[in-house]
Amino acid sequence: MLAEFEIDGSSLREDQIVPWVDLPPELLSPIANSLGIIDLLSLRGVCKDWRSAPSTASTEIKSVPDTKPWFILYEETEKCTLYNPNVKKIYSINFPKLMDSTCLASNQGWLLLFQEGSIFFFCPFSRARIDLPQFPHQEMSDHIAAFSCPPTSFDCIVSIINRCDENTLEINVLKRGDTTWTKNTFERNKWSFGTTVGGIFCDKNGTFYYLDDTSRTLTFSTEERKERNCTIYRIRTYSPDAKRIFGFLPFRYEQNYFRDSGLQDWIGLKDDVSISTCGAIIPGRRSNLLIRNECIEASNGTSKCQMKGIWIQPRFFQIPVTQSWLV
Amino acid sequence: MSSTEAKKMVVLKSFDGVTFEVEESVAVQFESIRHMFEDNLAGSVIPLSNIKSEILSKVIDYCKRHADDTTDEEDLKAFDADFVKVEHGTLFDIIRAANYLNIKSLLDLTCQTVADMIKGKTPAEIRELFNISDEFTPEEEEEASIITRFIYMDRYADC
Repeated sequence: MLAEFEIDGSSLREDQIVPWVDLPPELLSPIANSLGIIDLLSLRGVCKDWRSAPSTASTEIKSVPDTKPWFILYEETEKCTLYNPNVKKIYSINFPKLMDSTCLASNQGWLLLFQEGSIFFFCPFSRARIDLPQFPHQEMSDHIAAFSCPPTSFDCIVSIINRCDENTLEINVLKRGDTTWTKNTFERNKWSFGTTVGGIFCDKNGTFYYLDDTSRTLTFSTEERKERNCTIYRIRTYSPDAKRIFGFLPFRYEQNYFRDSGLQDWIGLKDDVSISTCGAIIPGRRSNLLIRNECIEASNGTSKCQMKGIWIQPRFFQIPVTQSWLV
Repeated sequence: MSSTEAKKMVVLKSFDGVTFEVEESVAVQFESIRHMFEDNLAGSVIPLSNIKSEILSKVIDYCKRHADDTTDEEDLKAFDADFVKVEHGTLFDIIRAANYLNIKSLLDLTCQTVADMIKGKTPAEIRELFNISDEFTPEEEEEASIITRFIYMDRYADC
């Protein structure tokens, strides 16, 4: 090596304070890329410059298929408790919007929330929000939703099921870009369908599957066929002798995911707490898993405290300010 | 590379005027200035006006190791691990140099190092680590640091 030391190196030494805050914004992305979601949030909380910078990195954070979803537990304040069962850690986190909302669905890091008459997609980690056109109902009762893919995708379809009276089920459908919900009603006196506890969309046949609490599934096809786009089937464990098999469910489901998770003990929930959970869809290598909604009543019958929970895949979505449901 | 072949050399000049003569096989890793010596500007000195000699020397060292096909994987890993055990100031300068010269593997290595330093820390701890002053108003602070603290619970292991 040819080196002419013309200037004394030590004289170049500037003050000892390293200007990390001047780190070029494009370098925050590769740093943020190798962080998990909690560390990413911490990084963004350091200073204003760092907060806006790692935006391109954020959407690349994806959970590995088959890792356990996280659980958000909340009451009536913005302060939520977040559980990561994979590393057994608990975080205290502010998720605005959740407290007065009803969560209708959780899929691929997006929640579908209903709050005071408005309905919107929400990513609690980034607080990204995409508003949907006014829903025909002002109140949510037994409403359960499912959506086909993230709301930023052009193929996104949302459907919300509810029972409007004893004999009628209603499914409202909204496709990306639609300005109004399309209402479908089904007389259910021919069949019996209980309380809806979860919904999932199957790409292969373009069909929504809703599960009830009596081992039945209602299928709703989004394909443009006039007759019979809604059918109810009974779900049975497969046996080779079974007669009249109409098909197999294109997904797996968990009935008691929360109960079996051990979280209730881990959190230390007392007997007088009742909790209702919103399930989620967890992509799997072979088939997707639908975690059903669960309702755990206070065991002594008198509920002092009503808590809500949501299973979610931890994702950080940043969307352009111009992002909207309309295309 | 054949030893009989005359090795093409490239001369680089740091911000403080120190020149370094490096083999082209090493300098090709400097993506952003590659065109300058590939355009056959033989013999001319390439000025790197924002890299100090101390840092440039380290970067060249790194690239020499990585250009050497005879180094085995394990040694290279050990070299990399040692390479980033430097003061914050040096690390910061290396990151900027790697970015300026567009040396992807070095950029990945140093950014990973910073990421590892950040992992598991709260915003306040990161500010302290990097000596960054807190310039948020209380409202912004509230919004920015949405995580207050995590608690480790080992009771879960028994469930």
